[in-house]
Amino acid sequence: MNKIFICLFSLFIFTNSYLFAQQTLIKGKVIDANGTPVSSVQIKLEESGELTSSDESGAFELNCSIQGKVQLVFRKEQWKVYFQKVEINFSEAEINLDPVILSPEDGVDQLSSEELIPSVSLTDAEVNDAGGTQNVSGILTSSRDIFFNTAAFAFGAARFSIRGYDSEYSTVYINGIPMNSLENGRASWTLWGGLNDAFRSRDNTIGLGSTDYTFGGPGGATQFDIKASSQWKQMRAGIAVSNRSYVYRPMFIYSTGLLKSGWAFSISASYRGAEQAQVPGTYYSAASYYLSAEKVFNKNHSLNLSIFGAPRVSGGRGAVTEEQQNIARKAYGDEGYFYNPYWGWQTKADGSGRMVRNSRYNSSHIPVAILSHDWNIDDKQSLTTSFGYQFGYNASTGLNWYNAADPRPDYYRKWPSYFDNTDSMVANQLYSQLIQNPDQLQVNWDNFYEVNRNSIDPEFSNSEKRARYIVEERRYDIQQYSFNSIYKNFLTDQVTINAGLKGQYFISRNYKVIDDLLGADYWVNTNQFAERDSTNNPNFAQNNLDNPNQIVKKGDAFDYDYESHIQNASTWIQGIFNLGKLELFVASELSITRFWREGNLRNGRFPDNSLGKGKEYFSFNYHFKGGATYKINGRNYLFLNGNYGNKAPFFRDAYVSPSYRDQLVDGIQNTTIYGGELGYILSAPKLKARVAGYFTRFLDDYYNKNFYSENAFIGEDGTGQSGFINFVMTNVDKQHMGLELAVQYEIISGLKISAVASIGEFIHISRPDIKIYLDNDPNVQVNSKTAYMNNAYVAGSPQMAYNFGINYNAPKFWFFNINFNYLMRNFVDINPDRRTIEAVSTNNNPVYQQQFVQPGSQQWQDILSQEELPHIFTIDIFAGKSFRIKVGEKTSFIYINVGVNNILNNRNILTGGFEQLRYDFEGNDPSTFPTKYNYGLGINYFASIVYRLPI
Amino acid sequence: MKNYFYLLLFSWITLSLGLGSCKKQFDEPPVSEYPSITPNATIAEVKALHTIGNTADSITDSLVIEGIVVSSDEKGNFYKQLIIQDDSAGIEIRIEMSNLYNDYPVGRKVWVKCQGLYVGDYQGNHQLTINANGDRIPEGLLSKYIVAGPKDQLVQPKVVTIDQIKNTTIYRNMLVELSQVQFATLDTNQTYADAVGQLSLNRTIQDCNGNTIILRTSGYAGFASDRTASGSGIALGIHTNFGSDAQLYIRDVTDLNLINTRCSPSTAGNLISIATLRASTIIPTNSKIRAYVISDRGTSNIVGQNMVVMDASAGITVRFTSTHSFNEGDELEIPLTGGTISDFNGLMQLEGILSSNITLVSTGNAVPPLYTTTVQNLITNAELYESCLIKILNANISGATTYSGTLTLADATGSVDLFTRFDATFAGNTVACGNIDITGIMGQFTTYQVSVRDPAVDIVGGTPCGGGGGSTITSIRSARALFTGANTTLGTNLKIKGIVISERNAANLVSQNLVLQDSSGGIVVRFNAAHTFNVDDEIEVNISGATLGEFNGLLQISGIATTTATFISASNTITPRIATISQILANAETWESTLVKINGVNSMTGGTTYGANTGNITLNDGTGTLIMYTRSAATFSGTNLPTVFPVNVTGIVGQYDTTVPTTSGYQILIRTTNDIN
Repeated sequence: MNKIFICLFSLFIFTNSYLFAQQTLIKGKVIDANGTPVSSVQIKLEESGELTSSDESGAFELNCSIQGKVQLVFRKEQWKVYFQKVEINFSEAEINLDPVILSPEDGVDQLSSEELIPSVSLTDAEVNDAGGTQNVSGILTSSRDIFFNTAAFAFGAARFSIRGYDSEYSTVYINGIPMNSLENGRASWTLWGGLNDAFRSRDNTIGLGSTDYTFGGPGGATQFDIKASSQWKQMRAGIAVSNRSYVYRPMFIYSTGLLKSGWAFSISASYRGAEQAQVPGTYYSAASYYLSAEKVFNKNHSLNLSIFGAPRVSGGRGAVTEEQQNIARKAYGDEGYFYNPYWGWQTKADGSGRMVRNSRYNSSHIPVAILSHDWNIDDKQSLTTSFGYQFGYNASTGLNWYNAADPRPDYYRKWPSYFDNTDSMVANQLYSQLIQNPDQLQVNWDNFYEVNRNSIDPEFSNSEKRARYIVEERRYDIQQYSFNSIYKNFLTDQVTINAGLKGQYFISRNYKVIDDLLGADYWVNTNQFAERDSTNNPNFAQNNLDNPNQIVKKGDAFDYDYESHIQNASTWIQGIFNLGKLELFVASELSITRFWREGNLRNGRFPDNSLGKGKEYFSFNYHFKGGATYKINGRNYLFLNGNYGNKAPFFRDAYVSPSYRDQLVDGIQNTTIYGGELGYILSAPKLKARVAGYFTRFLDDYYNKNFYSENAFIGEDGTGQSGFINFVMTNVDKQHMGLELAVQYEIISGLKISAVASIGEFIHISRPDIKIYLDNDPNVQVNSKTAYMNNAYVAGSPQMAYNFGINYNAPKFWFFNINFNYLMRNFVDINPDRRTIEAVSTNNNPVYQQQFVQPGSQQWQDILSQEELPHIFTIDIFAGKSFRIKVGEKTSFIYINVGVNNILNNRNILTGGFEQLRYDFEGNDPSTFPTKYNYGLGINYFASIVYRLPI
Repeated sequence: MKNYFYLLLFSWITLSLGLGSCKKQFDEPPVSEYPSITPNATIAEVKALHTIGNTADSITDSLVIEGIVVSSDEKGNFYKQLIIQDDSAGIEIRIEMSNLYNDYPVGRKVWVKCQGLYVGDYQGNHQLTINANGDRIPEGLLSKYIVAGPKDQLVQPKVVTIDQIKNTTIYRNMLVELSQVQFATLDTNQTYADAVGQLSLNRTIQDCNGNTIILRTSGYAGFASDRTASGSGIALGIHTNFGSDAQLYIRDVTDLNLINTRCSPSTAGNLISIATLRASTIIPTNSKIRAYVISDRGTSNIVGQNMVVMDASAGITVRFTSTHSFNEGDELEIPLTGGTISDFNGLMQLEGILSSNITLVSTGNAVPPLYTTTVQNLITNAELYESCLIKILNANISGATTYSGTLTLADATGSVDLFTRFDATFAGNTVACGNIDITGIMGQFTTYQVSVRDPAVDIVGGTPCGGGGGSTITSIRSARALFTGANTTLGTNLKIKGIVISERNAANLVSQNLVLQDSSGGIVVRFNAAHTFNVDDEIEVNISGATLGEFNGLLQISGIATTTATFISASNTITPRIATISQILANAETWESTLVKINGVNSMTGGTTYGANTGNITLNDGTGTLIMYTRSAATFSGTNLPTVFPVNVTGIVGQYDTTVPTTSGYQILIRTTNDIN
């Protein structure tokens, strides 16, 4: 097998295999801050895997057969991991290092990301998205950079993302297998949610610097090492309580470490559950498991198999308008701050009371198996080869209805503002009614059953009940095969080569199933919007032409059913050139992507291009990057990196409406990405600082949404007709630039203060082309227009964030830290359709000035201006203590940690917002469909107690 | 051993947790029990709070009514409304929610807590609404006002006759059952409504006695494109009125059970002659006439609401409240109940007849003139001959070259007016000169007059009047009326006469063009070459064979030489029509190419000089905005706009709209800067 890989590699990589029998002995000593020697510290030479440990006097020796810059890693239980770079030159037979000072582990390192990230971001990411999107801040938590540490720990309150990048621009690897989805580019961190203990070992690169395991995205890369041999030898069990997304969480890990037999095993499991946390209706139930077995055959070969998975179900929380939140607060009191229109009451079967039921359950379970082989070919070369397989599903439920009133409580016609223009007295009356009858703000489940039980449609059956309301589940079943090989070669003193070869095949099946018929007996598989659009052609509304008027029941697939097939192969190579004070690197990546749609149903709207394998899309892409680091002296560094490249469109953006037809978006093309960063790092014993500036452009990106519009197109009679539309935007150009500043000062031993600022500007720099297609009509491209979005802000993250933090590590194993955070310039996501000529004109074909909303008027401003969300100020504290307990001969440990976020209990934190994509073109009134906001949590806590037994 | 212990522990935890992370399962809730409320008022009592035609009345007492739902929006013939009835009456509840049938199916008992609602009426039908404007009750307030009770309650329709429905208001908004009814002959095998255009349509249902009622169906109804049955039988439906018209709305086609053979209706009542009718001061009760339509709605020489019918005794003009659809040659049976006789400038009219009550007996009959007579005799017996078809031999027509307006019809014995409506399809046709025989309807509009239905048929002999005609001129308004929507080639012998209102010297219009206005309207005349007519010149233009067309919405006569225009006199004046901008915009098509004056223009925006902003300066007088267009070639283009406001602006109403339909882009063009003061 290995020979095959070598052959494969030789096609791409210049292999070098000359060996020198030379080496250097590294000598040193490990002490603590008081100068006391620290024994039994494991010291590993990262590049060769060479191991040793310190003796009673703290001294150690290690042979190094690699010339150039190498890294030593110092590990010991209860102590912070320490990294030290050493310059090896074989002309010196021996190097004496300065004493290495280890410091005791503080509380922060005891906990992993999830516990430390302020809950808001994680809650929203986990609850709202069916695993499709992911907050990137999780990536950053273990970084040892002050800036990124702070950004991760302190700026989570408003989904801060570093440099404003989408998470698709950061790559994530686990044991050598890329975890970014081929379909949308994002790595779903929920796949290993809850496995914090097992995923403790990670390595981050932020920005455009070099990495030795992948080319890396513009946003950086993260790699997890979850091999059994990398896990600490321990049994660890703990329980945590919180009021964020879950209420309680038991967690367990057991790792054998490397046994004498050459085997290592590790197992872990956890569960997170809540009937309801802080936000009403957000049921949460998530388990996770992990097992890894490793066999180290000899110095050169080891084989590892790791399997993990995280079945999960959670209830969603909907974004709401300001009006809705205000009314909910009147109706519910303080709980109204967390108003969630997705849930409602349902009477229990025995009539004994009511239970909470959410209409949007997100669930997923995608187990991952990774088999990896590490081969240290010789002292200078290594090859890691991994196979990955993952399969499973993501799903989310939602209400659907047929010939029935809109059941969603947040439907705009159910709120007073809808009546403001007709009769303010009626609006007031409705306002009073809603605040006195909060049930009306929630889903009325009992009514769905009541209606369904009485629904007989004689066209289909005289006894069985045709559902008017159902809960449907949008299923997304995936399979992915991955192969990746990473090769390293310390070619000469000055040159290191990294290279890789990767292949992936991704298949997903997208369809809907009936989740609950809510007391009815069947659903008819037709498209009711199409039914309305064409009464003449009975086939038109059929979702399955080969089984017209198909009766579907619980568990049956319906509506749409298609597969996406995506294949990707890539290779990259990187050279690092060490020229004394200057280190340079250049890297390039070439990749090919091929994808196609395969329809499983022939529907009535698109009988010719809905079923079967569609046309293949093929793309060839390249990316280059390079950089330089200049060491002014041991404490001052300058760095400069840049990149230029492009990427293929993602499957999800490339099709007009993949659910129903095989049609690529007109003008789909590669997205071009280029940028650079320039920075300065100060690393003195007491003072650390980092300053960096960055500039990146994303050109020819796209945007693809499918939604219901009140005036999707102009009908034959000249009036606006409603319908589902596909809203596609091409030629979307964005520019992200800014400054990152961080400084940390240790006042006295254990007491540090830090200040961090992220000052960015993320804007659109083009006027994208809007194309609107009618979801139900094969012929009509409804409209083509220009979105005047130049200089509009990119939404999704505060563009400016400031932090001041105090961190105190007390001598007796306790710690305390407090963070003051200020986040600003977070903008709502705009509706591009509101930045068109049509949106400000009062006439279909405006010619004259009076056919436009008066420029500069209040109405003009209301339509066009982009709302900035209120600034956020939060104070978070975190404290903990650890205890030693003797159990027989062994020392075990108990850790107690408590974190309280948003201690001022600011319940009006807006973590994000978006303008609704519907717009009142007839009235030019943006308030008809007002902006929706995501509201954050108020004061929230996390507390845990962990018992750890080294074995 | 310990390792095994941990493995067991792990397995146990995984197993139990794995089971735990399932989706929640929900049992069906039990069937809810319905509340029961005791009403304290009947629907009739609530309806009594409101007098039809008045503003809606607020219900201030805590009245609770009980009713059974009889309407259904399942098939779309009812929309956002619920009709309930009790033994006393029925009433409509207007609700801002669609698909009400899910929650309020036919037969469901509901209680309405009326306090806070309003009771009013729409076209005579009582309704409960959220406010005095008649707005619907918001969905969010339903639970406040309406309590739903048990389902499948029996609704007994009121068994009534069409007569009973029409004679009382108590059945309105009730489910009624009509027996022995059928669609009127012309309405069988027709669609219920216009499903394509989504328009409501009326179909007539009649009983075997000839009583009729309208069956009205929404174009949105699911059965709109179904076709009506031809048999007779039972009709169920909700009875409402539209003003004085009684109508029926069905929930679904299953409400109609028309499976029996048709009955042949004859209008009830005694047949009387038109002569008897004309002689009566009060219309005899329970009577009817049977007559032929002699007027032709197709040529529009009669207003759309009117028709003239004639039997062997006499004729009469029948006037409906809206446009009717009876054609020349139809034989009708007209029940006279409800009708009145009136006098319109000397013409006797029969009014108050519902067209739906008329029975069409036969169609396509050729009706000969009742009298062939001389003009003198015609005038002598004018009252006798009124509304009859008459014929005069050896006559001639004079007074104008086209039919439009009042001409003179003469024979050897005398003369009478020959009147042709401006809107008649043949109004612009050339009059037949010379000796003719003419058939027409005798009429009166203070003076006696004869009208023809169509000269091509009604006038025999003569030759088209040629040359001459210089003494009579077509009005600009009627010339404009000849525009068919596309470029129209005008007929021969057409002249217009008017006063030039455009100023060629200031060059704010191209040198070939002038704008001509007479007392009826204005129009742009575009010659083949530059002309020399000055503002305020009176001129006559022979527009025979010219092209009448729109240039970006602006109607103009083109394709003629400057020699076709004759100078008559100079220094005439046209007084501009004083109007606000909003009035101008509202009447722009009628006032096009006429002179208007806007008093009190408050601002001019878009630039600081005439001709700035590609010529478009926006005027605002507080009522609206209007573009003042100035050509870059105009002599005053580039000079400064006034800076002190308000100013008065005089100018010609124009239009520049590049997209069809050309219903926007109205402008004003000043002649010189003297037009602004």
